[in-house]
Amino acid sequence: MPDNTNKINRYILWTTLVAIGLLAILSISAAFWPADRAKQFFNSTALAIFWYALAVLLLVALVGFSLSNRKTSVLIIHTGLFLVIAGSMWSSQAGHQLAEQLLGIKKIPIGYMIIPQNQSQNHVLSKNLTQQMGELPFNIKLKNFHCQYYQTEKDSASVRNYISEVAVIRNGKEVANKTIKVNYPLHYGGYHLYQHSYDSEEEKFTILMVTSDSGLYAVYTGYWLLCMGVFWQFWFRPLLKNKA
Amino acid sequence: MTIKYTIQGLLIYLTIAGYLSAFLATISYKKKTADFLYLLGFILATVSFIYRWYDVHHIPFQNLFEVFLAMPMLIYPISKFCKHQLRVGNEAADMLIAAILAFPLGFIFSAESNNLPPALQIWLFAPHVATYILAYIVMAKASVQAINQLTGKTASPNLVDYEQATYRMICLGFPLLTLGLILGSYWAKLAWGDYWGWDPKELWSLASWLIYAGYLHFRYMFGKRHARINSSLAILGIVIILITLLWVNLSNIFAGLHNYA
Repeated sequence: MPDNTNKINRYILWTTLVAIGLLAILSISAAFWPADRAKQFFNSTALAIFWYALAVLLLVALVGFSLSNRKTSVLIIHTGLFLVIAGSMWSSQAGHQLAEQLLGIKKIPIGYMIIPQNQSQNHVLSKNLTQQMGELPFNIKLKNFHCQYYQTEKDSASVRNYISEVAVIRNGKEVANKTIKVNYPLHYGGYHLYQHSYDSEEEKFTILMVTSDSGLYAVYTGYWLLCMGVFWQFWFRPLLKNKA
Repeated sequence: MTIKYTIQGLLIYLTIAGYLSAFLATISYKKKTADFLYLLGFILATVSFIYRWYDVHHIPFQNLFEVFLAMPMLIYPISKFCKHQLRVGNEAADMLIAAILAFPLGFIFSAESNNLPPALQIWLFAPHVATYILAYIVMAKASVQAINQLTGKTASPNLVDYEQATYRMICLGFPLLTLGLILGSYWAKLAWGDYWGWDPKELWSLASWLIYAGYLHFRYMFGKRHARINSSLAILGIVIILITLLWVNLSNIFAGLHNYA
């Protein structure tokens, strides 16, 4: 470390090392659990405090190091990381509750919809499809559902694709059309709708997953910055230095 | 241990033979022969990979067999690039690693192929897997340099010293590791509805990214003052990477979303 780096930056770096080490240990421990238990753990109150502290640490580091060490690429990397953490806090269940209490924005973070052929639906259900989670501000109409197969015999192992042709209906009018497939969700009115499951016997209904897009674009912006920042810092900066 | 009596199997065995004899030639100082055999191993590995691609009609990145098939092919160009552009050597180790990676292809993994399930039918499939394969090879090279540093060897004068070489390899690999993670996350959002699902494979890959992030911060703080700690972190990184790569495939104890690769 250069000798002129001030004391505060040294504290920031030590805290960073501790935070990185702690998160690595937590990740490895949680890797021995099933995904839903790990998810619960990382969304618990104790971890919420950790994420909050990590976001604050990144902000402090950004301010501290922008004063002493003016490497743009490093600033971009850490701004990206801050956006990823802030965005995922916003998109979490707790983030949605907070947005409802503070700003009055009521959105369903995640849920599922069963839609029979030729019917429209706006009720969102819990994962086991028994509890009502709420209603979407628009209706989804299933125009047609079908499966494509690799072979002629139609078993679940040879499914090539599940396809739901849907329309979005708002105030009785069709406002959008989309063919929802795996990897190709519908984005409308602050929600993403995914092909989740289907009626495997008669292909008479489809099950869509609904997720709120709150915070998502902060996370994506963070990804872009992080990616550009690391390539700039570790690939292009040394390359330019060698040329000069 | 099973032997594969197929064209694919034959190509794999020839690849192993090529890389292994290149390694033996290198450690017995037959440089010209070694160079030739190394190139031969690379050509055989490439033919093997292309043959598989032609055979299964999609880019062969679907299971552990196919991912391991790509690695011995990609080691050669990475090894040459590192030697000539970054002055990071140890081709002998690269040859040996290529042969070791090809070994389970020939004797352990099943070569059975499956249809691509719907979630894998997207442009993100190839770049996500490819960036990770490249990153893992580079990080494996980093750990070889780190072991050399720890055992107190001195690098030949036309190469950078082992501590510096470890750092260069991690600087080369870290952006790839980051890109692989981000592509995976973006894809998870499209396919599974969430950009982060907390499944074991995701958590192991996050842990390996964090170890290298920790290395970079530690080295920024202390430079070469604690060279042994720098090297130990680089080795810890490759250990976590190995677990990430093999976790879901070899331990069927925990069910995750990542059950195809």
